[in-house]
Amino acid sequence: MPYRPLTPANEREMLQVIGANSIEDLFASIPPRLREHIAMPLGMDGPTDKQKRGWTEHELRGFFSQLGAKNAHFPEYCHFLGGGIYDNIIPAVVQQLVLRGEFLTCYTPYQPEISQGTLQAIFEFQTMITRLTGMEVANASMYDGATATAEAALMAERIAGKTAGPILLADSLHPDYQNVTQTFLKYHSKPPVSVPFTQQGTLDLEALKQLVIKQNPSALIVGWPNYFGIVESLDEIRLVLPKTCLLIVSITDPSALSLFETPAKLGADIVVGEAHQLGTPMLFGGPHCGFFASKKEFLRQMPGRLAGETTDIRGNRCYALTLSTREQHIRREKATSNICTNQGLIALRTTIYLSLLGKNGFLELGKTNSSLFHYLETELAKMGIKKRFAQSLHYREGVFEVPRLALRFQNAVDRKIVPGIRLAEKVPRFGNRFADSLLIAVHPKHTRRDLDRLVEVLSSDH
Amino acid sequence: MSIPEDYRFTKEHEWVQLDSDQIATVGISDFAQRALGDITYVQLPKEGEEIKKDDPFGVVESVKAVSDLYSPVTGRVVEVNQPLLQAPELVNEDPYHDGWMIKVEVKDPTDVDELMNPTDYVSYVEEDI
Repeated sequence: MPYRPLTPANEREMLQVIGANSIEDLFASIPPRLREHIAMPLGMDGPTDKQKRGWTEHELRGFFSQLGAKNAHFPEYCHFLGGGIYDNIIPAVVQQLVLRGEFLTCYTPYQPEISQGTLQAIFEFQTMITRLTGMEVANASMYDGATATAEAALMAERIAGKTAGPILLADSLHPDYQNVTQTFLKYHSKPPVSVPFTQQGTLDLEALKQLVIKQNPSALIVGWPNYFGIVESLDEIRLVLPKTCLLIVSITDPSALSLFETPAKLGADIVVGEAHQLGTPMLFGGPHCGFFASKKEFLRQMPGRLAGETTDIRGNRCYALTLSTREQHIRREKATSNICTNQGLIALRTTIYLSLLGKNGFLELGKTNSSLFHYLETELAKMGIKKRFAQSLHYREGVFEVPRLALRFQNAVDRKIVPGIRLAEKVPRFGNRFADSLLIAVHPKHTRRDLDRLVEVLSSDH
Repeated sequence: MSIPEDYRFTKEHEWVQLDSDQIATVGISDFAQRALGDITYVQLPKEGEEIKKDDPFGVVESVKAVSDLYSPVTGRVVEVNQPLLQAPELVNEDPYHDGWMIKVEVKDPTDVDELMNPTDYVSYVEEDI
């Protein structure tokens, strides 16, 4: 057993079958200029003795450490980036527990005979998601918040039936989530229709009323809090929608669920979102973990895996995947989704994190975020930096109008502060009226000194 | 189980009964419900939806399998057997009466002509299955 996927003998055998003399021969159709990069990947230096004899582990680590050091990274930089990714404090025990061999596998084992631990962890995750959102059922997780949102759109179309109109997308929903949803719907059904936001950054209810009359939409997808950090009044939105139009709430920042009423109570039919901040670092924007919750009456139309609780032949409590007839391995092309897996390890991190925080800790998290933001907006206001959409309800993130933003942004970066997301760059279609708009988020890691430094650098041209 | 004389059957084991107002009632046969075993869920179209002959109009799920329901006629769904959604076991208990699934306003009544009568259906089941 060579413990490697491809031995030189394997390689020769495969080349022989294909009819190529060598690997170079196989790749002959690639221009030589590009082939050089294949031979010398990752910008390594030209031919050296190291290439001839191969790199030692120590040399390779050194090489990549140097490469990595070229990145700007946290916490060397203090940052106020949010926009769907949040930099929470993660207790060390989360990392330690997920390293256990029973959990740390490259695929999620679902067979009940051998996977009771995994299945129970998934079941607990589902339970926690239903408690946070107030919904009746939740699945075993999705790839991320954006794909969960797109899957919710597909589910709403299945529920509404063929005769219903398009999906409505709030223009204040996270722009990446809008893009992913549009991509999913593009070759599937009718393109979604956008609902504008008001001068106060909230969903335009008048425009919504008109669209409901004209389009007979199957669902409305609204961000909560929305991309501008505003906690929309879901109950008011619900009142505008007829019963046949489902309300899909897409949550980029689930820590908001600590302070506000659950979307279920406010009238949501499907609640999806991104759980990464509950126990998983920002990473590179992924791998993260989507969650998906709905009402019991729509259970059969849900995508993804579901762990259920049952009893074994001895009458002991145990867990198994359930309601699989929705899924691809049974329903083939009529399955509710192509998702035949879940984001097992990240969902596990979420479960452990939430267990550690408990009800009180989770509430504390929300209060911390909220009070940090309140302090920041008060201090910025003193320096004449106004919050846009000021009359709307904010939680921990908001849009601020910073004079001479380009200059001050660069000054901040020079001082190793990333002050936020420049909306004009992130969402070019918002146009000039957002030229000086900066989306600023606070994170529980921030100290008062961090916030004071941000205020200082944003309120001066020097 | 005795089959009402005016019922007609598809090869996929749906039955259809056409009344004088061109309304077709559709369900699945006693043979089908026995083959499926305990039925746990029935998914039906919405009232007002158009369905086409030989196209799937719903899904029946049992402890053993999940199967599509194929429409014996083309037309518009005018009524759905709502109690089935809460009590799918009605299909097992009484497939030819309480276990009916949908009523369809039929576009072309001759759709039914090509289907099997009870005698033919019984021999079809005995011979072919």
